[in-house]
Amino acid sequence: MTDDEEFAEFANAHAERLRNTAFMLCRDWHLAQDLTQTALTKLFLSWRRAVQAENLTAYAQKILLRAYLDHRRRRSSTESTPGVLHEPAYRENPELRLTMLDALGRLSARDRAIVILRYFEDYSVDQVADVLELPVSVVKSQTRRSLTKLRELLAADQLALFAG
Amino acid sequence: MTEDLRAWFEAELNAERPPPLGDVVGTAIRDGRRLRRKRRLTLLGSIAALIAVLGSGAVMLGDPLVTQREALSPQSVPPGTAAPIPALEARTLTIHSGTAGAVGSRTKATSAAMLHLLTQLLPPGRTSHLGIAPDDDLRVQLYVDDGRGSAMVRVAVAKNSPFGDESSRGGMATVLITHDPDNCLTALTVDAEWPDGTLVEVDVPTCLAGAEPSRAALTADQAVMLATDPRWGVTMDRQLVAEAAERFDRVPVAAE
Repeated sequence: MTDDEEFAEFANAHAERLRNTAFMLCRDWHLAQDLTQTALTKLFLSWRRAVQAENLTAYAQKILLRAYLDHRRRRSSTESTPGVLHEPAYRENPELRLTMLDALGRLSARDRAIVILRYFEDYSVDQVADVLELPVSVVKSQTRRSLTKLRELLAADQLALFAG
Repeated sequence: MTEDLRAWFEAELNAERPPPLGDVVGTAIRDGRRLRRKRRLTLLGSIAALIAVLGSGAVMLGDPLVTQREALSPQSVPPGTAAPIPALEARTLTIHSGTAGAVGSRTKATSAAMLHLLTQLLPPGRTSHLGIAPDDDLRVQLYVDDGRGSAMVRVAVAKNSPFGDESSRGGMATVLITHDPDNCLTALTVDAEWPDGTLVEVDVPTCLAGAEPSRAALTADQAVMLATDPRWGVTMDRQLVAEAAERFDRVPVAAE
């Protein structure tokens, strides 16, 4: 099997998952598609190095995260916050309550990435620190803060999931 | 808690209606190949430029530098001269050529045949500074002057491995149009890739070979039309190749 064929096999198996992760980060399917595209192109270019990685999936995720954070840095002034709701309104009206994805959108890009990697991708603290190139202590403290903020944002009946 | 949160994420994702994923993998391979090729060409250009600079320096300074030039190896080129993955503005489209490929018998393409076809496809104008690649690569360049001054066009043809099981040219080319305002030599690049792996790259610089600013020889639409002409390939029409051999029996090697 050639390098290109190996890449295609891996990419076909992981593209959907990468796009889901990208969507959770940016909450925009079209941007998620672009980020996935960018990440796969960069992965293709570094494929020979990538296949030597201990965890190829994590390597691909790292490229995607970098693409997302780079995008955020370039476009930080242009991103809108869709579905902005005032807290009293959604607290009183269940129809308006925030979804988890809405709540995630209230976190900073870096904190959102931490939560997604920890609780969606099931990465360890060390792995998150490695992917985001952050100190372990920062990952731990930001995880705590992010979960606290999510608790504040989500409706009471949704908080049972945090009880554990 | 982790399990609960993940289930929550999954449930919300499942409630979404994402658009079709599309051919992200095929596009990544095409874009990756194009960027890889561009990096290779840029590196070659840097090496050529470095050698040229050292060569001219040798003329001015005499023998000591000649010795230094002979000691030059590709590894001595500063790493920074290799192009990074560029932050380019690019868009991809699919072009139906209107024909499944060039008809007639084909033979191995030559640089002369590429120049011959290029002069047929360009808008009217006086051509000059014809050049070909110093190696066996199918790359040519020329200047064209339509009365508004000279402008350069470069065309390269290569063959990648085909996508999937496609062994025939097919009637649909994927075209990538890239604008690179930071590099006058690649200010506009149009890459057309066919299902059989044939890649045609048209560069429309906004400078001449010596980096003097110039107009662009083609608009993006004209460059797309040129790049997607089905007669390009690593094999070309036998008669066209024969005519070209008579018309361009000696063409100088172009500077990178």
